[in-house]
Amino acid sequence: MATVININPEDGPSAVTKIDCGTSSPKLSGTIDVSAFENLEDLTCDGNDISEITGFYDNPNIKIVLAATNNLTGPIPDLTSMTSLERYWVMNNEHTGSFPNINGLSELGLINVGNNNLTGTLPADLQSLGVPNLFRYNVYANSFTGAISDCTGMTKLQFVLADGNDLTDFTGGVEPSLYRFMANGNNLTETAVDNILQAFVDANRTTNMGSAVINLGGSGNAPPSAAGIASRSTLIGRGWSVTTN
Amino acid sequence: MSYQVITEVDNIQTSDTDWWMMYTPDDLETVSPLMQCAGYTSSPDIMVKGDDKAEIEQYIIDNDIKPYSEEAVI
Repeated sequence: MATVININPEDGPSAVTKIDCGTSSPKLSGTIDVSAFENLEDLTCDGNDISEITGFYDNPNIKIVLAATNNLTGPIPDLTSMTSLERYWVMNNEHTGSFPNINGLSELGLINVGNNNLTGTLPADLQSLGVPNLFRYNVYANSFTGAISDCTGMTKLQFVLADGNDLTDFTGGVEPSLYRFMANGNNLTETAVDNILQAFVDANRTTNMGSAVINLGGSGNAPPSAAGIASRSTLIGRGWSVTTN
Repeated sequence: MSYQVITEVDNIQTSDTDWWMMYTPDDLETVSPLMQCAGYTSSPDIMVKGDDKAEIEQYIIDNDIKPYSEEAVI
């Protein structure tokens, strides 16, 4: 039997800025509607069995959405009305459809849509999206096709986790800030592998190399050409951890 | 013991069936999460490689290696 939980704070719903569903046994399931909380900034409900969360995608005050590891289905709505959005985690759900619209989210630092059932192509280049504060771009374990996004001009970007898709291409560049690049388990061509390695050579990161990782291995990806192998050697000489086929 | 701790990671070959991870020797930070991924790896970090996922997970615990977590981002 379904149970409906209503939240009626003493000071009224406008006083609520954070909702944390916590953990319970059995886990929370069904739909959560947070539309009453117009000043909500932080919505945390990860690790439950929630199938739908409504009433926040048009809230300009939302900064943090942590809804990972639930049973969320259907397409990820347009995120662009959440103009204060800083962190958006929905990995480990059952979302379908395409990569969400994040155009103009100038505060967005982290998006993680990993391990869903998303398809289609990724944004061609991140800089044109107007997300200058993005530092984590995690799209792993979906079924994205086409090219890995060009990261030129993304001077705060540190993580690109794009492993476990059907991505084939890469043209463009990366910035020295990027130190964790996982694209293993795709269908990258030899040219794409070479281009990625060359982009990192050109970015010329030489400091704080202790956790700098590029992984282009895994079944599906082509090995680098002789030119790519030379780039690989250059990167290893600078302190990168590099995996290729 | 069915795993190796490799401190000189110089073109180490892994297969699709190998489990492996890497961590930094100084602060024990996981830099590559435990995964199965074929390829050739060179790295200044430490690689743990084997055929038993559970044994490597136990190694991570026993050696206080900081686990890899996507949600551990402030």
